[in-house]
Amino acid sequence: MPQLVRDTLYEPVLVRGIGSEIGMALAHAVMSRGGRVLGLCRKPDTLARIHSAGCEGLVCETPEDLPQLLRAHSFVPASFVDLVHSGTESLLAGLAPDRIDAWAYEDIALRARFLRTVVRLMLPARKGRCLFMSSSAAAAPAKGQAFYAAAKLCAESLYNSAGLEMASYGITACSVRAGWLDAGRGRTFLQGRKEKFEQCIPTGRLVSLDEVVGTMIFLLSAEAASINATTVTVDGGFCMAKQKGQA
Amino acid sequence: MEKNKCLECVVAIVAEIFERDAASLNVATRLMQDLPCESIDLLEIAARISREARREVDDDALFLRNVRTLVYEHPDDSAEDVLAGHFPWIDEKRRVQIAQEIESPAPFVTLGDMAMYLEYVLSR
Repeated sequence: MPQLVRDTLYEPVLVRGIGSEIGMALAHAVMSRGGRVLGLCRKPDTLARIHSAGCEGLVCETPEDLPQLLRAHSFVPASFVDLVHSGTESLLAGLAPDRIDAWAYEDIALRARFLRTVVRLMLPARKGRCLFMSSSAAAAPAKGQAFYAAAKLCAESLYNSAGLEMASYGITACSVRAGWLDAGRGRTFLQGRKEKFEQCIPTGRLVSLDEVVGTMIFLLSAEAASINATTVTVDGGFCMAKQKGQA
Repeated sequence: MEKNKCLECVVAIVAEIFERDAASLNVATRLMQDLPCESIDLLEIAARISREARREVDDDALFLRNVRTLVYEHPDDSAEDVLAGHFPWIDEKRRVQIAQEIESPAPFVTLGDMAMYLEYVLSR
C-alpha cells in the first residue's frame, strides 16, 4: 500500500458495507495508519465477521437510529464511506414492478437517508468527508445494468450535492468509480472470462484491490479535500477506450 | 432541561453560528429577520440542537415551517386553534402573536419558539 498519505486521515471512519472484501481491506488500511473504523451492517452474522476481523461494528438498518447507536460507541464520524452495492441487475423492462419499488427504496432512498444522517452528525464539528463507492457502470453500463447503473449515478449526484452544499461547512464528498475489479463480486463475475475483459482495458489488466483501497485512503486524507463534488475514476482507462464494434 | 436552560442552549448555538454576543440575543430574536440566516444555517442549527438533545429534532417543527399552510388548510378554525393542535409546545401568548402575524410573508420563528420546542422534545 502506498505510504503517501501523512497522518491526515479524516478519522474515525464510518463504513457502510464493511463486510465486503473492499470494506475489510479499507478497514485494515485505515487501522494500520492508526485510524479508528466502525462498520455498519444489516445482519448479526456479518457483525460477527467484522468483529472477528478486529473491527468495531454495529447492526443498523434504519439510518435515523444511527446517532443514538453511535453515541453508545462514543463515535463521531469524521469520514463516511458507503460501499453498499445494488443487488438489482436486470434489463430495464425485465424487472417486476414491486422489485423496482424495492430497488428505489434500498438503492436510492436508504442511501440518501444514511448520507443525510451522517452529514447532520458531522455538521456540529464542521468537519467531514463522505465517499461513495461507485462503478464504471455509471459511465458505461452493460446491458442488464439499468438499475445498477442508475443507482450509482443517483448516489454520485447525491454525494456531489452534499459536497456542493456542505463544503463551506467543512464537509466534502466525492465518489470513486471503480472499473472491473479483481476482488469481491467482480472476481466472481469475471471467473473464466478474465482475459476477454482485460482486452477491453487499456492497461491490459483488471483493477487491483490495493489500487482501489489506496485511492480511497488518499481521498479520505486532508490532502484530497479539494477533490470535492466530483467522481474519481479508477478503471485503467476502460471508460475512455473504444470497445469492439465501435467505430 | 427546564425552559430557561433550553433558551440558553438555543441562544448559545445561534450566537456561536452567527458569531454574535449571546447577550444580544433573547427570546424574541427572530431567526430569519434579525440574523443573517440562510437555509444552510437552519440545517446546522437543527444538527446542533439534535446533538444537544441527544435525539433528532424535526426541522419543520423546530422552525415552524408549515404554520401558514396548516392555517390555510383549516379555514373553519382559528389560527390559534390550529397552532394549539399542531404545535402544542407553543404557549398561548405566543400563539396569539403568531396568529396576528399570519398574513405577513416574513418567517416568524423566534429563538423562544425554538426553545419551547426543545423543552417539549426533551420532556417526551
